[in-house]
Amino acid sequence: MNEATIISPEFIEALLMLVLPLAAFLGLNILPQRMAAVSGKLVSLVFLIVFLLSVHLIWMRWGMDTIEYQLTWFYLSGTVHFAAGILLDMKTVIMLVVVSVISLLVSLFSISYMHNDQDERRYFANLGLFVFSMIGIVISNNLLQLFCFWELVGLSSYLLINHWYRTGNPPKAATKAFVVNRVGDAAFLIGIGIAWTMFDSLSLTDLYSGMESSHLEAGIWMAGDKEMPGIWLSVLGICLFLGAAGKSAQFPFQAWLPDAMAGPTPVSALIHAATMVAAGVFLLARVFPLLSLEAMTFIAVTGAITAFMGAVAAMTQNDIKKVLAFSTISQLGYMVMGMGVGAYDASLFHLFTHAFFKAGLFLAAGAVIHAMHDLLKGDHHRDPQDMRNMGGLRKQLPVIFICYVILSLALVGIPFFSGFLSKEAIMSGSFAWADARSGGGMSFYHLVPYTGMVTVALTAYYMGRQVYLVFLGQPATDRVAGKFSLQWLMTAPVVILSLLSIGLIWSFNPLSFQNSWFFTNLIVPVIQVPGYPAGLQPLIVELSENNHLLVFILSSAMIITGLGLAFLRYRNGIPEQNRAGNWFYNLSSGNWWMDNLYYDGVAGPVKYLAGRTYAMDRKVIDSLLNYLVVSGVLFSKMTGWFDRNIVDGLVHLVAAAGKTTGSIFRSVQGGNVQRYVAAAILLMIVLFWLIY
Amino acid sequence: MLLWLFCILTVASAALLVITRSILYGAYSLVICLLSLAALYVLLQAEFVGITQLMIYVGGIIILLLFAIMLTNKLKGETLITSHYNRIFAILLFGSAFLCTGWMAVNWHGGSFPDRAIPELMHATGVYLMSVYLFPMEVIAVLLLIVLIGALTIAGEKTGKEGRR
Amino acid sequence: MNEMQLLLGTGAFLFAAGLAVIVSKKNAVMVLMGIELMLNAANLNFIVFGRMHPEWHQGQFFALFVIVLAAAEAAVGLALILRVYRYFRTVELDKINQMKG
Repeated sequence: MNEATIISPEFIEALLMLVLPLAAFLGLNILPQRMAAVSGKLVSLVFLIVFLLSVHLIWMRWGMDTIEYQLTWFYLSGTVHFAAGILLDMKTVIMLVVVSVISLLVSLFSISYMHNDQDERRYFANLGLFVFSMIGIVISNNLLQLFCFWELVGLSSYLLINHWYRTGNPPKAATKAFVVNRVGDAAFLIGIGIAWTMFDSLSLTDLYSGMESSHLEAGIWMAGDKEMPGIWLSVLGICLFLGAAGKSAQFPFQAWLPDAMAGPTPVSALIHAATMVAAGVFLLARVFPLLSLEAMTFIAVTGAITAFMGAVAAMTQNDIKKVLAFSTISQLGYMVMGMGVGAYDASLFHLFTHAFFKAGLFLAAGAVIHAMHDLLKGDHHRDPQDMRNMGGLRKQLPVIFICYVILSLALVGIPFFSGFLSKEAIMSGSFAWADARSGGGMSFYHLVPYTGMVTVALTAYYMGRQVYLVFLGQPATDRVAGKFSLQWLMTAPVVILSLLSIGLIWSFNPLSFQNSWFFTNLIVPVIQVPGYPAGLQPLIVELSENNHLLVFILSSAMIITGLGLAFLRYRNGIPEQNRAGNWFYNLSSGNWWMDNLYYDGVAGPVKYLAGRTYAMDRKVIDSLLNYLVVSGVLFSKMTGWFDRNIVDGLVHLVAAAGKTTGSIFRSVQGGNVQRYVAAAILLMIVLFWLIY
Repeated sequence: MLLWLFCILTVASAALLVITRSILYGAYSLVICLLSLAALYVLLQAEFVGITQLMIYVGGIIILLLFAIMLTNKLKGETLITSHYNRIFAILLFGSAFLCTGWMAVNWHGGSFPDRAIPELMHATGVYLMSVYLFPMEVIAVLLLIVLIGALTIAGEKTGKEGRR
Repeated sequence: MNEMQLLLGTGAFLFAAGLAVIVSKKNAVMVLMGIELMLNAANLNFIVFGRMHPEWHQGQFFALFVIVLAAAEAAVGLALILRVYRYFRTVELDKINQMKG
C-alpha cells in the first residue's frame, strides 16, 4: 500500500466524480422553476460525465495496486487529528463504474418517467445528492468520512422516498426507513468508537495493519500498548456489521425496505436495489480484514436467515414492486452470507451482477406500472401496481417482456446468465465454509448452505409466479387492448441492463465463475484477525474449487423445482384470492409479522413510555412551572402597573404637552389664509387693548 | 332723522351681508349698504364724494363683483350658495373689533359738527382738486392705468398650468 | 347719543362686519365684498371727521382717493380671483390650501 504524497490524476478524477453530482444538486436547487423541464437532461449529462470519468479511471487502474491519498481533515485538542482521503483499489473502481452506469441509466429513464411531475426539479436534485454521497462512500479511505457519506445517503434516500410527500404513505415509509437505519447507524458508530479506542486511527489502511499486528493473549486483545477484553474484538465486527445490516436491510432490520417502495420506481431501482442497499455489503468488504471468526459466523447466519425470510415473503406479495423488494432483501442476504463465509470475491461479484439485473427489473417494473396507468384508463380504484390487474402483458409490451424474462433468469440463476455465475460462487463458498468449519462431517454449520439452497428454489418460484402473473396468461381485467408504445428513453435502459445480465459479458466460460475476469483481477484480502485459524481461508478456497459440480446439480434441481411449482400453480391463471385462513400465506404476505412485532413490541412500549413521561411532565413539572409562572406574572403585573402609571405617566405628560402646543400652532399654520388674517387682527386688537 | 334712517339702513344691510349665505343676496345688500353710505356722504355735505361713491362703487365695482360671481360659478339654475366657516374666529373678531372701535365711538368727546353749513363747498372742492391736489390726482390716474393693464394681464393670461384641479 | 357718536358707531360696525365677512366667508368674491365694507367704514370716518372742519377739505380728498384705490384694488382682486379660479377650478378658499404646512 503505497501512499501518494503528490496528488495524481486518478485522485483528481475521483474528486471530480464526487463534486460534479454535488454541483448538480446545488445548481438544480437554484435553477428557476420555469427551467425545471431541462433538469433531467442536465443531471443525465452530469452522470454521463461521471460515467466517462469512471471508465477512464478503471482503464487506468486496471490490475494495479491500491493507491491512497489523504490529508488532515481536522484537529482535536492539538494532537488528535482526523484525516480525509481517497482510497482507490480494484473493488472501488469497479463499484464506481457500477454506480455511475446505473445512475446514468436511471436518470435517463427518469426523464421519461418523471415527465410532467410538478417537482421534477427537486427529484433530479436529490438524485444528484444521492450519487454524490454514494460515490463518497465508495472512495472514502477512513471510517469517519465513510460514516458522514453513509448518513448523507440515508438522508437522500429519505428525501427520495418522500418525493410524493403530499399523499399519506410515503412520509410514513420514509420515516420508517430513516428510523430503522438510525438503529444500525448507532451500532456502526459504536464500532467506529471501538476501532478508534484500539488503534487511534480510523484510516482503513491503518486499521488493517493495526489489526494485523494485534494479538490475543489469554482472552485479552492487545494492540500496541492498548488492551481490551477479547470479546470486544467480536463486538467490533458485529457492530460494524449491524451498521451494514441497517442499510442492507438484513434481519432484523429488513422491515423498512418493502415500505420504501412508496418512492418513485426509478429511485427504487437506483437506491433500494442497486446501490445504497449494496453499500452495506460494500462496507463489509471494506472492513473484511477486521472481522473476527465469531463475527463472521454471526454474519453468515444472519445472511442466510435474511435470504430465506425475504424469499418466503416474496412468494405471496401482490404488488409488483413488493415482490422485487423482498427479492432484493433475499439477494442481499446472499451477499452478506457470502461475506460471512469468507467468499469475499463471490459476494462482491454477486453485488455487481445483482445491481445490474435488479435495477433492470425495477426499471422494467416501472415501465409496466407506467403502462398500467394508461391501460387502466385512469381508474383510481384499481391499483396499477397490483399484479392481479395485470396478465397478458407480453403482447402489449413485447420488448419489456423479453428483457424481464432475461433479467428474471439472471436473478433465478440459470446458466448463461450473470446471476448463475455469482450465485454459484457464493453457494460453493458457503458449502466449502460449512465443510471446513465442521471438519469433514455434518454439523449445524451446514444449515447455512442448505438454507441458501432452499432459497434458490423459492427464488425460482416467486420469479416464475411474477412472470406468469404479469406477462403470461390472459388479461385479468378489462383494459385498453393493443400494443402499448413506450418511449425509447424508458425502453433503452432496460435493454442495456438486460444485455449486461448475460453471462458472456462477465465470463468467457459462462458455466464457470472462476474464469471470469472479475475473479482473476480481484485480490481477496488475507484475514489476519487474531483468533482466526490460519489455515481456514486457504482451506475454504481449496474446497470451493472442488465442489462445483455438486453445487451446480443441487441448484439446478432447486431451480427446476421452483419453476415447476410456479408453472403448476399458475398455468391456469390466478388461483382463488381469499387465503386469509392459511397460516403460511399470512406469514409470507405479512413478512413474518415483522411489522406487527415492531409496532407492538417496540413502537407500542415506546409510545406508552412517552405517554407516561408526558403525563408526568404535564402533571408534576408543568404544575410547578405554572406556579412559578403565575407568581412571575403577578410580579410583572405589579411592576407593569408602576411602569405604566408612574413612569409612563410622566413621559406621556411631557409628550402630551408638546403635542397640544404643536397642534395649536399647527392649526394656525393650516394653510388657511383667512385664519392667518383673523389671528393677526386678533393679536392686533389684543395689543390695542393692552396699550390703552 | 334722515341720518338715523340711513345709518340704520347701512348697519342692517351690512349685517345681512355678514349673515347671508347667498352670494347674490350679499351683493345686493352691499349695493344697499353703499347706496345708503352715499346718502350719508351727501347728508354730511360731501356731495362730490357721494356722487363719486355712486359712480365708482355702485356703477363700477358692483358690476365687477357681479361679473366675478358669474364667471367663477357654474350657473346651472340653482341658488349660489356659499357656506361659513371659522365661525368662532369670526364672532370673536367681530365682537372684539366692534367693542373696541364702538367703545371709542361712544366715548367720543372731541367736539361735534359746526352748526353752520359752509356755502359753495363743492365749488371749493373742484378748485382744490385742480390746484392743491393736482399732483396726487395725476398720480392716482397713472396708478389706475397701471392697475387696469395689470388686471388685464393677470386675468387674461392664457399660459401656465391651468385647470390643475 | 349725538350725531357724531352715531356715525362713528356705524363706521365701527361696518368695519367689524367687514372683518367678520373676510374671516368667515368661503367664497373669495364675498371676501372681496368684506374688504369693500371695511374700506367704506374708513371712508365714512374720513367724511365724518372732515365734516368737523369743512373748510380744510382733506377728509373729502382722502375719501376720494380711497374710493379710487378701492376701485383699483377691486379690479386687481377680481383679476386674481379669476386667475385662481382658472388654476384651481374653484374659489372656495378652504379648498385652496397649498400653503398647508
